[in-house]
Amino acid sequence: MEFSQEEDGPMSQVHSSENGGGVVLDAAALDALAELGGEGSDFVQEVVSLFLTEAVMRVTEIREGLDRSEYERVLQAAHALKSSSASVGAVEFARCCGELEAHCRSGEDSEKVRPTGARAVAMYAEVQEALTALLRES
Amino acid sequence: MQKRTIPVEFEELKSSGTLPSPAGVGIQILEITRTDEFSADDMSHAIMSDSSLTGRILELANSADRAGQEPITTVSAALMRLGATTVRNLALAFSIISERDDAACKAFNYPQYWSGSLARAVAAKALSSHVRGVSAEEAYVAGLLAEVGVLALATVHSEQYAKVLLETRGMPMSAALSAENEVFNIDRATIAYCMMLDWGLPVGFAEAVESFNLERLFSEGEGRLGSLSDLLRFADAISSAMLLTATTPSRRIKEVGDQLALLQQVLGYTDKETQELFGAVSTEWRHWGERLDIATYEVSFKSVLGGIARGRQAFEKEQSLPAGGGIRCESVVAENIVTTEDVVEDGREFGAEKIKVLAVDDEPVALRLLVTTLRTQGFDVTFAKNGSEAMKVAMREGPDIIVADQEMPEMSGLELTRALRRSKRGSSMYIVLLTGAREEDLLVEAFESGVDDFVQKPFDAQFLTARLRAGMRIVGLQRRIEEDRRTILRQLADKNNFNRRLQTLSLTDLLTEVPNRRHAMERIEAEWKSSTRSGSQFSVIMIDIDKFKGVNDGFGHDVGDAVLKATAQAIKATLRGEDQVARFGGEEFLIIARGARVAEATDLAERVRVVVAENVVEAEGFCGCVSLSLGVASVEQGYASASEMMRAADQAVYQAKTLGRNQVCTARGDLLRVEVDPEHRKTA
Repeated sequence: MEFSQEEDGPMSQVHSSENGGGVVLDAAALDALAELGGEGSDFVQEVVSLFLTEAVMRVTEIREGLDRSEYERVLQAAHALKSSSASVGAVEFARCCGELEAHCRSGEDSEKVRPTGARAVAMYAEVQEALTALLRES
Repeated sequence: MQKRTIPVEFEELKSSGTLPSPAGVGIQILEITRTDEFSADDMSHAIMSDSSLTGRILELANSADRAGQEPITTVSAALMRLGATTVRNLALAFSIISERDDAACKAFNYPQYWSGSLARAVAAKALSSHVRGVSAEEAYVAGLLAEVGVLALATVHSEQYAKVLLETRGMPMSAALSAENEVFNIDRATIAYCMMLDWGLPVGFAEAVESFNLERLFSEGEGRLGSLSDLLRFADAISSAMLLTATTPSRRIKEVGDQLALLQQVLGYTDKETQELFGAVSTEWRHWGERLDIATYEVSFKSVLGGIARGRQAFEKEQSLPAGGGIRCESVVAENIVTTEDVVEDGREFGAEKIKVLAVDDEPVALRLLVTTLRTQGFDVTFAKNGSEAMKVAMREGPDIIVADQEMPEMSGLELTRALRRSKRGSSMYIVLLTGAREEDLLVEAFESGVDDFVQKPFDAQFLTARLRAGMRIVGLQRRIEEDRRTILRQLADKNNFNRRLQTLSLTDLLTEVPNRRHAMERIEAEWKSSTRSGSQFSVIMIDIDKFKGVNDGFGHDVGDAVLKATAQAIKATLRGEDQVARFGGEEFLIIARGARVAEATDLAERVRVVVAENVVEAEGFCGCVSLSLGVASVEQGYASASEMMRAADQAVYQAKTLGRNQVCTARGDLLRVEVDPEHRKTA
């Protein structure tokens, strides 16, 4: 994947991929976050750090839940991650978590749950990297 | 003990409609027990309709140290053991607590007030065995309500009073009293006194509370615990010791320390016994705090002693400083209590009201965002990570609005709503749940459980705010309705009282202050009915003042009035307990003698005749006696109706006049012919 700089908005450090991998972090969401925090505040950093701390635990939950076929755990974790990741701009990841949640909830065959779950876990790695980079840059 | 006139300033406070007062069942009880002859059954009924009130009364009744007695398990048993008056007073006190409004004045520390009052109540109860004639329950109620005058001022005149409190902080009680009188023309002591009377508490009780408010300290000269007000003083010292905070002025700490030392001396307690007393008081305080939803915490006697010692040190230092040099001493016993100073230093203006919101979400990022969003929108926000924490915070902070995520693992938003609605404080909060897209199914269930509104996630900040503000408008209306309801109830109670007085007035003869003709007629009808039903006896004695017209004409109407008044009083003084005299006409009186047959009634009439004949009336230009002509008629004589009996009595009076006045004649009934005893004849 290639990363190129976007010049729009104050969050000019947004990393995105133009090659089919989808945008990892959505500029608009991060902008909204910045606006909420107010001028010159550490709000975005604070929320992102908070997210990263939480997300690690949730993703671990997903992994273990998948391993042990304890889909309730996967459901809870996916649900939590869905909204929080959207808030920090990881919209693709959020969407994936949403799908994962839906699959778990519908009690469908584990056929859909496993691949979606695996995809989510993989995506998280990118999200984590992007957000960590964001923190470093500010 | 005389009741004093209620000052007009108190009436004004009352008319504000916001004085702390019992409400709900408490109002019912007030109504039922307004006169001394109230029905204990009615009161019992009212109490039993409120199960938590019943529980509290029973608990208190059982908690007094009554070795070997059966536990009290019903309200009737409590009535028998404690007496109706005590139970009534307990019911009122508990009602006042449960209906309390902690938001009326932003700058007054209500939680601290109630924590302190409860501590004082428990301490007073613990000490009550040392004072003769004061029961444990009485002490408890007195302790609880002792500073109700302060509460009243804070609630009715919140801003002004907050200033008074700040200005007199750290100064002796007399400074506060002076300031109150200066600003409000009435002080906490008088207000407390009036409120006690208003609630029908005994005068002695009201006086003890007043005395405590005027003089907070037990003075050394007394040497022993002699009265309820002394009890309150020491209980207050114990309570203050338990609530020492970082901002309690050192002067006050020293004062409390001295009072405790004095207490130990007066009771003759060893250190160990004092420690035990403290232990017992603080344990019971915690217990009642939970029952009554009043904040309490663990207190150790050691920390109290430590706090007092440091306070004393600070005081010594302060004494050696130039004027104005205060020391903030590390005297913290109560760590969680917000003091009045802290509240004011908040920066909030008096009267400026930010809407308080409690944000609840188990997901940390979401919670952070919610809190920040709400704060940015101008709300005053507290938060909680889950349902049970939210409950605690809600009870403590009393938010106007709660915004909670629906899907939380341990307790859902819906379950939280249900739990809140079960409590009194929680039932008036505006609750908004944040839901995901799927949750429409639970909408109906949610509204039935008491949810006020839903907002879907992810929410737009302005949208959420708009919904919250709309909700607050409704809440504001609801609160005004609630307040109006309280005012109306209060006014109704007043009106009933007024009507009752009016009723009494309309049944009383203004001049002689005895019942008037109308009242007499009603009584006679009632007695007649009762007699018909149960065969009970009664007689009437018709009375006419001899040659009254002559007195009026000869000496003037003022003298005539004086004669009437004096005669009425003389007659009244001669009556037995079950008799009643009424002014029946210009110069006519009527005695209704319950339970009396002819012979008894005739004897009574004769006694009255003699008393009046010998009663010298002195008025302008007149000094002499008047005489009466009396006619007796009795149910025993077998009349067909009350009016027939009255007519017979009237005729008997006429006969007495004809026979020479100043005598008693007995009516001749149909079935019984009673000879007028020649003994009873006296020539005028």
